[in-house]
Amino acid sequence: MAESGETPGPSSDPKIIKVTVKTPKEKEEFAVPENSTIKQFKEDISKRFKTQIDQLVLIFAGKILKDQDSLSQHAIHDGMTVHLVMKTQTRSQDHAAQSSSSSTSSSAAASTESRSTSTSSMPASSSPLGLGGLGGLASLSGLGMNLSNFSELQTQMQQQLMSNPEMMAQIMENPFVQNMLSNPDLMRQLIVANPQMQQLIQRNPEISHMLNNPDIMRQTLELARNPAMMQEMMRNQDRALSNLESIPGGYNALRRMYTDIQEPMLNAAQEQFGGNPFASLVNNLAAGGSQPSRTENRDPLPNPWAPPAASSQTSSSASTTTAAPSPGLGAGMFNTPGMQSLLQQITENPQLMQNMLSAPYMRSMMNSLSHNPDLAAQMMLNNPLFSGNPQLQEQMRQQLPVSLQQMQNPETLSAMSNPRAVQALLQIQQGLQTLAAEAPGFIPGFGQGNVGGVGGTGSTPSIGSDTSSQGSGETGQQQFVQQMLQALASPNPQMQSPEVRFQQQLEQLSAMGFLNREANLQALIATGGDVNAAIERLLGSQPS
Amino acid sequence: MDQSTVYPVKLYVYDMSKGMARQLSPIMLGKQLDGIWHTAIVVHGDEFFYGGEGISSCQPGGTVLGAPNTVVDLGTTEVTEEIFMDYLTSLGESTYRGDRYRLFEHNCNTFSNEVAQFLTGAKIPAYITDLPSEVLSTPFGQALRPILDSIHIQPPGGNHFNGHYGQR
Repeated sequence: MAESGETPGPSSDPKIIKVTVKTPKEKEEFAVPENSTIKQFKEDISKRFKTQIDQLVLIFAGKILKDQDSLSQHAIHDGMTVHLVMKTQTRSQDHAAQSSSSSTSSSAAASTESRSTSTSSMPASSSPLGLGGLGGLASLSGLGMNLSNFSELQTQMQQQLMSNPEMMAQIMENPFVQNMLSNPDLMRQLIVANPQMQQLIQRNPEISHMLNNPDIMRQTLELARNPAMMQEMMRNQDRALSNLESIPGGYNALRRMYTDIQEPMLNAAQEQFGGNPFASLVNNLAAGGSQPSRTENRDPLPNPWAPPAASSQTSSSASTTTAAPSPGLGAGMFNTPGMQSLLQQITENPQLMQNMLSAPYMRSMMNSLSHNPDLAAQMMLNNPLFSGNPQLQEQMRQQLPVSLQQMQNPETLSAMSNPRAVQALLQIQQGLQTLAAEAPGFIPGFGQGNVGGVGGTGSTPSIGSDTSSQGSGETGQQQFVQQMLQALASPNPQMQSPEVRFQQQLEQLSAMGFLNREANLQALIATGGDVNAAIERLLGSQPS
Repeated sequence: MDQSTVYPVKLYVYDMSKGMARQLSPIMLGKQLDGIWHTAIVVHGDEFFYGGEGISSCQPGGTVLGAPNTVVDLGTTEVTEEIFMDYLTSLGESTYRGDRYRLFEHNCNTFSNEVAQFLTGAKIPAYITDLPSEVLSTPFGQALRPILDSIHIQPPGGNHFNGHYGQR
């Protein structure tokens, strides 16, 4: 018998095998004779690990190796790993734990099965909260059953998520989700890759336009990430929509809008999401679509910070999560026929204007509009108020870039959202209107003054020439009046107080000797800030 | 002759993405992944798993993930609860502390694999342990790796395992 082992042992078996002993913290290799007993093995181990033999528990293949066993008995061969646990003191609760563990393990198995069946029988038809878009993004959500049907799965997940708001919060806090959400390209890919989404896109090309606009996407993601912001926006939208309802004819417009726009999208979306993730898209249309169509605020402006109505709260909670894909979609939806009728209605709703202006996404939309003058041009031109007046259209088109720039001007924006400033402007316009109605002859060539105001301090040569050519004749003045009235009711994006706007020109005029500030102002308004034309007008109407 | 009692050992497999991975992985990763697997070992009536906070235990199926997708029967073990607790405590003080968690290399499945081998000698199914390498072999996984590395998955619902249920 050849003995080549290093460990001394009483065994007669020659073969030495290498066995790895693995503890939770370390592992060591032992060379032992194949037929050594566990007891002998433990002796070696205790020496190496400096532990008492009593404390050693060897485990292999789930079995506890008893002292009297041998290695070969347990089929421990060369290269295998044996686990070692070093016992500490025994606990008295051991027996209690063991008896309860056996019963709990059986009951646990039973309860697991029952739970799985009950969850799977949960109806998949209950309408989800339109979380579809957002749900596709939160890939680390953890509720619901694993269903192969995507829409069912979405439904389930939404149900569970909504029933456990903490989970939702946790998902959103998950840095992975947040990082993913902050990457617009990724988001876009995700959204576009969904086949149902692709269907939607085909039917509504505006969506693809929205998707391609990184600014809008970014804003969308911001909103998705920031639930407070989303809520705020939803509130605005709901308020805007309810305002829209309250005006005469508004309801019809809403209905029309719904049938034209929302229903096809709803139908398309319902196949996918079982709900209408674009519900707030409609709101967005209402709010976003009135951007070109400024109107005078004839009523006292509502308090934009008033707590939302109860009705809007329920709808906002329902559509909170649907806001994720929707903001900024309005920008692409302007050119649909439903929108145009809506624009008409909106121009008569001053409250809507205020609400809309205070919406946080307005700025980004204006940004995108200014970057995309074609879209803005299209938007303006499709405005039904303009359709009857090609002249106005022309002017609008020309003034578009300038007016867009001015809308970017933060001063402008702050003035527009300042209810007092808006009211002041309104008063001026009202005054002008009254004047025009009462004494049309008093202010000749006053037509299109406000449209000229669109150009603001920028030059409006076309208007200047226009009005100067209309200088004579009562019929001409009638025309002016009509046009002015139209213009008054027409979009007037430049709502900055004319006094502020024309400060410089007013100074110029007063320096020249035109001391009648009121008349100066009116003339400037009429000519849109063109000092020369204003002078002409002043000289024509009243000798200075 | 084996006279000691044996305890069944099960592996609970959860898909953390709840089916999303199956749907989205072809798009996002370019390869089909059937799930983002989280596993836990169920033995002695409790579920044990490893996460960003270390080893945790709870009632079987008691995390927020709910019921498992799959239950793999790993066999039986003779390891008593007492020994198992000692073992887990040692693990929890060394290799499986909370701060040792690594999403790709040293995660819940690593833990489950090790415990499974300790208890029964069997490993857990390969599709679970291969998941990190599968993900990392895609450009998407590589790109997101810095983000993912910082993620610690810890399904809520478990109690931090501190050995002997707090008696220590």
